[in-house]
Amino acid sequence: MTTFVPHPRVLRSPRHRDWPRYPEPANDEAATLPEVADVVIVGAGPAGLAVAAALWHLGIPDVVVLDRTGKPVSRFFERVDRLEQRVLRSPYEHHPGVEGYRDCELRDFARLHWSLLTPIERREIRMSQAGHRSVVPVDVFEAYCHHTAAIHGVTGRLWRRDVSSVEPNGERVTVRGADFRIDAGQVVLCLGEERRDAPGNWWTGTRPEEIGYWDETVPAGAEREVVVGAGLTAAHLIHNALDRGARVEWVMRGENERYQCSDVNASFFRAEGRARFDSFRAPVPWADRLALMGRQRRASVMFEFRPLFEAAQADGRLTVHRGTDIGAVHAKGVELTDGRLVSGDHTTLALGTVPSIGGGLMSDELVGARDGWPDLDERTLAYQRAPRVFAAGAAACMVLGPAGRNIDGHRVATARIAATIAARVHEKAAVHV
Amino acid sequence: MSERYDTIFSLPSVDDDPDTEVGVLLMGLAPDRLLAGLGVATRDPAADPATVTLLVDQLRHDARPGLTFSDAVAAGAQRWRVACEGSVDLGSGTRSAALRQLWESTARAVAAAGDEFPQLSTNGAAERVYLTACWSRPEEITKIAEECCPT
Repeated sequence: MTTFVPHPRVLRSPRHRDWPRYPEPANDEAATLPEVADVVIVGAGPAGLAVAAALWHLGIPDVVVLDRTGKPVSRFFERVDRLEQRVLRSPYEHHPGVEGYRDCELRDFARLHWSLLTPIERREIRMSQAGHRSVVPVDVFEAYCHHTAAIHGVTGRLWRRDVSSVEPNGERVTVRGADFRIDAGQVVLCLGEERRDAPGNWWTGTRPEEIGYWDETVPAGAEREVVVGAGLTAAHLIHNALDRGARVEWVMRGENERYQCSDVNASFFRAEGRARFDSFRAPVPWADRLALMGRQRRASVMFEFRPLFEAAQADGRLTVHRGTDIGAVHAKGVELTDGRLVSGDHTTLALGTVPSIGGGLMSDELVGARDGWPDLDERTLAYQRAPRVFAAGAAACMVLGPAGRNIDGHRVATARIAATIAARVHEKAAVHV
Repeated sequence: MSERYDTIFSLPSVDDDPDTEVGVLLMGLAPDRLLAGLGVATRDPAADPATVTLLVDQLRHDARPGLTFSDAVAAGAQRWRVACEGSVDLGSGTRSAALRQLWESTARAVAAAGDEFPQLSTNGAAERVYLTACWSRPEEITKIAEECCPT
């Protein structure tokens, strides 16, 4: 049997190295936001980028992309950098580019920049080429996203706007914000996920300043940090705290840390995995999907962290508190339901994320939420009650399985959505000829 | 890079010249893309092979104003014809099924011939790498050059 020993050094991949800035097509920021478009994509994260790239290849040029930051995949990298995350645990095969059109794919993009990669990063590419699990440096992924955005014209069709409503109206959809209105033929919501907030009973009144969330800055000088959570985000917080010389108390409800080589959703990447959710061939009862989601969407940590954390536990810098619920969180730390107090200068909560499913933009009736998931047509990923509005990304998890929130899931979603949109646009064009 | 473990199989080297990694990748590209790359590289001697490759990707997607993919292919075809003038024969070299060895032997042959045949001397890394890539598949390149830009 071949045993692959994890390289903790992959976690030290350089970030913000002097990556070449390739000539990018001009982005006319002063360009007027169109009032009419065949397609509006809301959100320019990995899912939005994948949808835009696929539509380009399907001959749909009249696309407007709206994003709160105005830059492709910006919030994604902002979060990654806040966690000081250096590699993605998605393999090289998963990227927002388009397959089947001989575009430069992520691994080849990395190989083109061989001289910029460390020996560890190069080895990961070799592992990927040999069909094994690999991880991707954030630097590589970011540069690739910029390249993908540039060649598919996304950069020039992206506007910084906050969307406040999406209103289906017969054959059209109105997309509105504070200072704009777009009459769209079809709309794709690529809204991503928001952080999951703490239960309301963990503290009363205003959240004490000693308690923060994973997407907030940890105060400098914290010598004893409490981290609550069991996933990759918690692992990065712990790693960073240890790096700063702090002592860490790690609180998780599970009985054990769950170290995995790849994403916890990996078993759903392939079609046969998706078939456990997807009713494409045979109906899968909703209750079965919910149960699967509950079992499978568990937090896990890249196994590269394991030797680091075990060493930190051995020398007393890290203490792990397993298998107990949290009763309260306050300025002094975390109170467990068994009465113990896990004390620290600062507590950071990494409780996962909640998919944005379109509520707030569309009426509850149109979203048709059931157990927190939207009511989607499984073949097209259009909302059942708003067939000209589609959902990509985490919102599609009850159709595509837990991998729907992963980059690979975005590509599966994109394939269905883009094909449906293109067929409708081309059909309409044929009618008008 | 030496490893302390994983004795079951070995992976290709990670320490080769970066141009070899790019070269092996280019050997798998369609001939029109190689010609376009040669054309772009000839116009911009300061460019590196990666930049040229990604710029060609932009051209294939009509993402650059002022230069088209066809223009680049035409420029590459012209450069290729110049390179082939005088029926330069670089010899058979090392014909190997191992792509890295094949690339390195072709690169050595092209570089050495540049001293003897001025039409094979190059002005920059990208032109050298792309000319080598074309030279590794001369029949295909000549054919596509003739199809795209007949003499």
